[in-house]
Amino acid sequence: MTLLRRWLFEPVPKGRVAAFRTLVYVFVALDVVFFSAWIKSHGDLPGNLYQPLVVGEILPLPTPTPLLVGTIYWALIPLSLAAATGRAHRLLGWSVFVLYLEWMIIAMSYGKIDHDRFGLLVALAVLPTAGRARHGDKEATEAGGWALRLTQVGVVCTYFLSSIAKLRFGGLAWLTGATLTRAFIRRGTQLAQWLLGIPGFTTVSQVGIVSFELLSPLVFVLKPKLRYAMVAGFYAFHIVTFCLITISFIPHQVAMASFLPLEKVTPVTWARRLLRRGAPAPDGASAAEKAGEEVAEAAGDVHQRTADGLDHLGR
Amino acid sequence: MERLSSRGRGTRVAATLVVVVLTFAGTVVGNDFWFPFAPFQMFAIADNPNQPIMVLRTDGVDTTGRRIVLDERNAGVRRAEIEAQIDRFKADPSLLRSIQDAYAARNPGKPPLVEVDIVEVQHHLRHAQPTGEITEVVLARWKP
Repeated sequence: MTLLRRWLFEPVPKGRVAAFRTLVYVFVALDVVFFSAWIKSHGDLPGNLYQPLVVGEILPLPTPTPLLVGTIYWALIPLSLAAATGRAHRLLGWSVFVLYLEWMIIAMSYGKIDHDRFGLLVALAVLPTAGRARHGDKEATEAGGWALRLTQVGVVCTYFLSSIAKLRFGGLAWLTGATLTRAFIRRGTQLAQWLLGIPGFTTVSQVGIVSFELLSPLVFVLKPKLRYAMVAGFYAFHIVTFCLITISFIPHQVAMASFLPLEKVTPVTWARRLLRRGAPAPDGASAAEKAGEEVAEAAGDVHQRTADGLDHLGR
Repeated sequence: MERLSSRGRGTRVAATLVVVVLTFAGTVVGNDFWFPFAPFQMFAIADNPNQPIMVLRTDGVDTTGRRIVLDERNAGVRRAEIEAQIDRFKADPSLLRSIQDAYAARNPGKPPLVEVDIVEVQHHLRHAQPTGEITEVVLARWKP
């Protein structure tokens, strides 16, 4: 039990939380505008195509109209970009979560349910609880650790439960069925069409997919090196999927970044260093460093003198 | 290090359990309407390796008689959504009027549609591989 609790609250540097926050919220803005732009069109669809979800009936949420969809769209963009700065992480975080959840509910209330965003929704639900975090801050945080861990759990559930769903709805016949063939015919790229010509290719791939999905929880017990290799494998899987059937699963991939030491990705510092290298003349940073050294020396002098003085008095 | 209070930990443990239980329950016994806890069932259906693969296509015919394939871009309708509601369209083709309207709203200045068809394209298979034979059947037609 203690082991499980330690795992659930394993601290991470605040800088990682800050970086993940920026990534997730910038993605939300991009997603609304580019990746899932089709959702906006649901406002134009007539009410008779709307099939409310359980959550839509319990709350109860209104049937989408152009006004509702437009309001959420125009609110989400500035709010998520503001949240990406890490300021007012609770207020902005919860606002983005509620709006994006409603955005997703609108997306999924017309008969087609995607499962590529579960990890992202978990991330949005937990980030407001992760505490204040500044970029580059090395201090460890348990609240942030839990937020990243639950996001990882959401990501791994997406894989593991996909296979459970395959076994529930397709049964063992899924392994030898024509599911990939169907996907390739319906939306396959040239590469996929070519691979369809290889006898048994889709069957072998199906067995591979289920094995990888059922084994995905292992990522939580592996040593760091192997763990990163496995996460790299997850990313590779999505690259291949994209090359074959142009399904990107990009929201899921953003959530999966919760496995990575994002605090080591410091584009601003890199850009500064690059600029400094480009201009070797007396630059601001080294001047400031020198000034700092001078101040320190001066302080040392004062200290020395005081000590001398005390010494003197003592004598 | 910034530690959590025991209350903070308790709340988070409870939240974790609720999310995990709902997520698992959703996939094991739930259905699509449970979203965001719906089963992770994209590509979960096992297709028979020796029966045709059906792909639905939505066609529009405009006043000039031109046949146009309708999609997300020109009529705001996703194929998967049409497929999910195909029984409703079959039972009441007049529902397709909404697609006609959506097309008109997105393509001002273009000739309006006078007919909307949902066509089933059947790709024949053998041992999960396409044989090359393709059949087309109209499932629902709206022609006011």
